[in-house]
Amino acid sequence: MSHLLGYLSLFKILPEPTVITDASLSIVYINPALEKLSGYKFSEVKGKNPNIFKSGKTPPRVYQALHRALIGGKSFTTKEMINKRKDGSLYQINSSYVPIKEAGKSAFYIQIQHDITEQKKAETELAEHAARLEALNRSLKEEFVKGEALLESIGDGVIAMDKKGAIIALNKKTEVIFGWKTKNMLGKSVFTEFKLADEQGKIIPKDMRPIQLALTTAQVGHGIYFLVKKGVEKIPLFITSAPVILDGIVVGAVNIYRNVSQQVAIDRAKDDFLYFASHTLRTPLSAVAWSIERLNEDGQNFSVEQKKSLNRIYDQTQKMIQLTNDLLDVTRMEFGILSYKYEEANPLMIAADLIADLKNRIKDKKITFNFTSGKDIKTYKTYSNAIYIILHNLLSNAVKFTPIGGKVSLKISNTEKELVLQVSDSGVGIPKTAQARIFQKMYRAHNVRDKFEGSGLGLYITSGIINHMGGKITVKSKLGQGTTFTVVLPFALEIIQSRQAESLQL
Amino acid sequence: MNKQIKKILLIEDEVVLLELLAGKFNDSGFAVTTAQSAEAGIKLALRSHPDLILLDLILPKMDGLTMLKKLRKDKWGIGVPVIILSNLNDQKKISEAMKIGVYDFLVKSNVKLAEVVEQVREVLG
Repeated sequence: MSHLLGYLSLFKILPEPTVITDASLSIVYINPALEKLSGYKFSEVKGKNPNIFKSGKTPPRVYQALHRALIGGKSFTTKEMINKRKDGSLYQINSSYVPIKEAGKSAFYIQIQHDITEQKKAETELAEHAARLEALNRSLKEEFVKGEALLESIGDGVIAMDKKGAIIALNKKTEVIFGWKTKNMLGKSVFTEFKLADEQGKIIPKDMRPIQLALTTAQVGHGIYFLVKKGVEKIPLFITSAPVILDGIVVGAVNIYRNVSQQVAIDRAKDDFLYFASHTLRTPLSAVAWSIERLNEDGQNFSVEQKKSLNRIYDQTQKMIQLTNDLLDVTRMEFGILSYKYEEANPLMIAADLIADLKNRIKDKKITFNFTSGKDIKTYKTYSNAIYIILHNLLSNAVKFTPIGGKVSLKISNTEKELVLQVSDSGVGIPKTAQARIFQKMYRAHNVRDKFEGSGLGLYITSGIINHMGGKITVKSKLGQGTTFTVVLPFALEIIQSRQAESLQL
Repeated sequence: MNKQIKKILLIEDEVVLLELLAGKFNDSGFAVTTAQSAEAGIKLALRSHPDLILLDLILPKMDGLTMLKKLRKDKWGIGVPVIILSNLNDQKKISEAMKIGVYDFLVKSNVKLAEVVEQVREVLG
């Protein structure tokens, strides 16, 4: 012991935890580094067996090998021994055992430890990290496969691109639309690989393309554009361009291309029909009506019989015009493109305009017309021409079905949330059995079918418009006494989707 | 000034309708000039400066609204009253015409000749 004590001051400052036992394995010294590592004070372990540090987690064979070496007076190194602190927590060490011989016999054993807890922890973490990465990689691969399957199953063309517009990925449908092969397109710029034009065929400059909006302003852009193929062929595409944003920065974009050739063709057919009905049909009718008007100006030159014929032609022409107008309204309504004009309007002004238009017919039939209104009917934002059509149809029906000298009245009032229009007449009335059917297309009640002109479209259009506006129409009628229609229209309107509104957006 | 005969320009490609309109306006005491295309119409308008133009929308080659836009770029043309007289009463067209600046939009089949004259007189005061 004597010469060993000389080294104690050295052990004291040695950063490696160190324990010294005598030949009978009683602890004679532990240095401050081990005190710190194990949590034991030297005084607590003095004279005790070092197995006080055992955790039971180190395999027994390690101790057996150690024991054999030490008995044989040899040095020994153990790896990854797990020891226990005073507080019960574990630490890992590599340690070197050195027997100190006195008079040829082992008198002391010195164990110098290397705390490898942190190292092991780091290793474990590293392993765990690696495992997590591996799992992530696996799931990414799965996601990619899923994503790819998803991309391929989409019926629209999809192109993913980086922030400069270079193509990263695209699907089969894109190949079909653009006539591309994926492998030739990767890395190429969407700005140079195809051209877009407007309806007139004017090429859309780079800055005006929807993708530019997505990449520069991080907003979703969409609209109908025409893909120029082989310089002549134009394919209408509905393009949606959405930015891909990572940590607030636009890193790329995804474009979706829907081929809307069919929709465009249908829209064109609708337009063609409306053009035909409004212009082609009405032009000769206008010519006939105006010609008769001119003839009638020299009325005195005709016999009574001739005048009667002229009036008949005129009336029939007017009937044809009315039918054409109804056909136009009905078609526009059914196409969902009845042009609603959304603007500030006052129902009282609309009614006044309408009454002025009907003035002559009211006078001709010597009808007493009564117009009443609530005091606080205000101007509000609404579909002014829709209100006009509703009132026009109801009032002209009322005038039509009311005998000479009868009464027609219009009352406009409001509740907190609704505008209420009420049209009453002292006309022929609607049979009870017919009341449920008068809003059907081309239905005409039997009591008016032969006596009055009409298409059976007016109330159909009227109720259709009222439905579009989220309102409702009800009827009360007594045969031979008269009819009252009540229309309730909410002030807060659902936005009516007309094609005009959409095309303004696009 | 009131006594002076008012000059109106009719731009209409349907000959029958043009003759009916011209006849009616002549009989009503207007000095009438006519054109059957937008190109001829604008030339005539800029040369003879009529007091009012009755304009059809559907015309061969250049349509009525395109002509109207061109007309409104002229120093004189910017102020001349224009009434659209067309059978194409699509709301989009009406709004577009109103935006460019027209006095009214009449649908041929829905107005009498007498009403057209009445409307023109109203505009010319």
